[in-house]
Amino acid sequence: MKLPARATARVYRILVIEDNLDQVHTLALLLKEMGHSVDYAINGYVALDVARRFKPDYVLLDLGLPGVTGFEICAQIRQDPELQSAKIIATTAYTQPEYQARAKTVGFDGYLTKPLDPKALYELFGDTKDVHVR
Amino acid sequence: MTEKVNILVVDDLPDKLLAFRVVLDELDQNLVMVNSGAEALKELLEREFAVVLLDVNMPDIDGIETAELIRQHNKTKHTPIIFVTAYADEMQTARGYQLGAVDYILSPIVPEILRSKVRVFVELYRAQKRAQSLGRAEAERTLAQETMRRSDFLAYASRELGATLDLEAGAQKLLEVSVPRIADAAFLCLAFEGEQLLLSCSAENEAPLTRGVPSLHALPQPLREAIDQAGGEGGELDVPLWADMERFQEWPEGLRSVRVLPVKTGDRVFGVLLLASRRPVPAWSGADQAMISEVVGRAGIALENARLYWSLKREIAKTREAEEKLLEQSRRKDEFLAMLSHELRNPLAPIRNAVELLRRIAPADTRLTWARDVVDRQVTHMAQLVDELLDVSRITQGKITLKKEALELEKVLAHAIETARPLMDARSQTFSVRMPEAPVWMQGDFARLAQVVANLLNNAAKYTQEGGHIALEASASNGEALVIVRDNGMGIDRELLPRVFELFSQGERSLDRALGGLGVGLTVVQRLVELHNGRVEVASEGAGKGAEFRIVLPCVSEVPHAEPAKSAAVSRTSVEERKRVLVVDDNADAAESIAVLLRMEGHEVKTVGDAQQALECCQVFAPGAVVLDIGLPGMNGYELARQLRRMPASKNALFIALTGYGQKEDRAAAESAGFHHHFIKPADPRAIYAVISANLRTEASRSA
Repeated sequence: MKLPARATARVYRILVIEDNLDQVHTLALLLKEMGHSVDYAINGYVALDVARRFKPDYVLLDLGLPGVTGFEICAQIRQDPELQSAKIIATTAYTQPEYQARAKTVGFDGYLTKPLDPKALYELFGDTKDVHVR
Repeated sequence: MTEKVNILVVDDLPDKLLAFRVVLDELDQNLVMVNSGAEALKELLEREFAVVLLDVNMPDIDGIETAELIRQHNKTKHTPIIFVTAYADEMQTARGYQLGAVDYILSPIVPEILRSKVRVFVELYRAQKRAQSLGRAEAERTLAQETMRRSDFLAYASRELGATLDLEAGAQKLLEVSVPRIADAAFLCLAFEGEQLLLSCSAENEAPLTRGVPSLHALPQPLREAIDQAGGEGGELDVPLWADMERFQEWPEGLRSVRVLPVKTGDRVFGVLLLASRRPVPAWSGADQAMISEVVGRAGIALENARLYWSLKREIAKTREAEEKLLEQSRRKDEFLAMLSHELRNPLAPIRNAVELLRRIAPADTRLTWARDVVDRQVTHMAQLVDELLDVSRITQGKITLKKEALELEKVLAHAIETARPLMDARSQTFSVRMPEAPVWMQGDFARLAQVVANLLNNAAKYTQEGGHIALEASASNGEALVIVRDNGMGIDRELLPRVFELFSQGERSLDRALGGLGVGLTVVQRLVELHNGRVEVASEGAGKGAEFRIVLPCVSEVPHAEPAKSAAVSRTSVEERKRVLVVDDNADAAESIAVLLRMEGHEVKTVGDAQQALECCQVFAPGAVVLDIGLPGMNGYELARQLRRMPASKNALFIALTGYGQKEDRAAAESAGFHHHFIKPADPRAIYAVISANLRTEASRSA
């Protein structure tokens, strides 16, 4: 699955949904550092509520979550009329084509494999501070 | 000295007659050989025979017909007939038995069996003759009936015993055949491969009853001794039973004698049959004795067959079980590898984020920067190892699919060199490349083929000392591309050489393991090459003498001219074809900028840098549209367009010219060369996309 076209350097509202606390904190901090507005949820139960409140432009969504899986959350977000413009990117350690295909079917816009390459994040969201030198 | 009896052998083949004579000569009887059913009938009417051996398969009158004719005559109505046949099935249908055959022998004949069978009938005949010589019509009739009874019984026993290949069923048959016809109770003990089968049967009830017997120790002492003796020596013996003897199991009262018979094949005794009788010893006449021995002899053969079949089945079952276990273990190992590499990715994710954060927010400090770079490098390396592990588990499980496309070998090699170069440079190794003389095109997965060559180059760099030499050579002939990676490094031990492509095999694992690696690289190489219908070979003179890996892949070396039949098909499916776009521009960036947009719109796009490549590529790629830079080195765009339009694979393509001049003359030249559209550089890729899409729509509506 192709990633959505590279965004220009503007401030995005990015929601990170991920149960590994280190991963969710470091990723949120990194994205904030890049100048974006970030919120996060650490399980599948609260994810939809947080998304409704936060109204993200992008959702970075882990597939293997306790409670409700990433596939289910993605489907729920897609059904919410208020969240139609959100782009949902799967972030997962699973690389199997079966997962990628299923992600595409339930409405994911992109698929990133962990560990996330910072380059991919810069490509996706741009860097408002433009300090990355790669 | 008893008089010789007549034995008639009927077979159309002289060779087989000779074989019968050789085998039966030992019986020292009068053998009469004839080669047709008609002659057999003639002989039978002239004199009396103890037994007829009749070949089933004969020209003119066959064995079955001959038997029918023999039965029609009063004189020969009861003459025993043994059929000789190559097919047991013919007899199993019972047609042979209906015709009064007493037995059959499978061809090719087993001398021992043939002799023993014929001998029985000689004995029976003699007994009959003796009775006849007493001149008593009554006795004669009784004897004739007895003979018939015995013949019938033998036929019945043969049929029953031969009907099953199941050991236990065969053993039960033997008891059922024996009781009550020849004994009032029977007991069978078979020993095979450390297991014992004990069965008992008595005629107490209406139907013979067969039961499992707990142990030989349940038998009275004299019987146990007799069994040991018969089992050891293989001879028959009789044991009298006394009334006060401990009663055995379910056997009926009043048994007075037991005959102990060994069950054997050849000299090997593998069981003992006890036949108990209410009559005192000796209970059976001579003819009956011969018949009983014969039945037990046949049972021996039948049970031995069943035993072989049983042990074969057990062997097969064991092998299958072991195979399944291995497969299961291998499957679990693969699953473990997949799970492991997945689980290892998770902790790497936050580490990588944290490193990036540090890079952005930590204060500038050389030691801090250095430490962060160490973590960065190691995490990156770790992630690569995990990828490699995941790759190999997917490849060994056959879960990989190639994204095949038409590609040029040289580009694959260049990509691989780019990947492996840093390691060679770091180890100060010299590197030489010899690319193929002409472009080599093939169908394959670019990333996977590059991975194959990069793996081999990396391996060469790893296992070659610093300052060593590595060479990459590529060539093509007869539809096969050959890629050689050669080094003058540490080489491969002879013992290891056949196993280098196996999973987790590495050269001697040194303690320092400076080079690292999982030992999966060559497995990946082999599987990927095989997925491309190619093969990989390795050669090394031994330790310290360098190594050479050769990859052979199918390719399109000599570009064939497309056959005329194909061009018709091309024009019919031209709407589909239009989705393939060839961009020819010597400026790679310019070509790529057009390609990117077209790819985003769903087209399959190839970019090449010169006219020669374009001509080669077109044969395989068969583009629906060609975007041509006019200012190419060597052959210019106009000439190239003319040549491409003459080739079947591209003659129907949409031709788009790109020029840097934009003057009237150029436009006219483009039109005369057959271009459909003309753009001035730098052309807007969207405009190019627009004319291709428009052309697609026109094609679609035309064909609709």
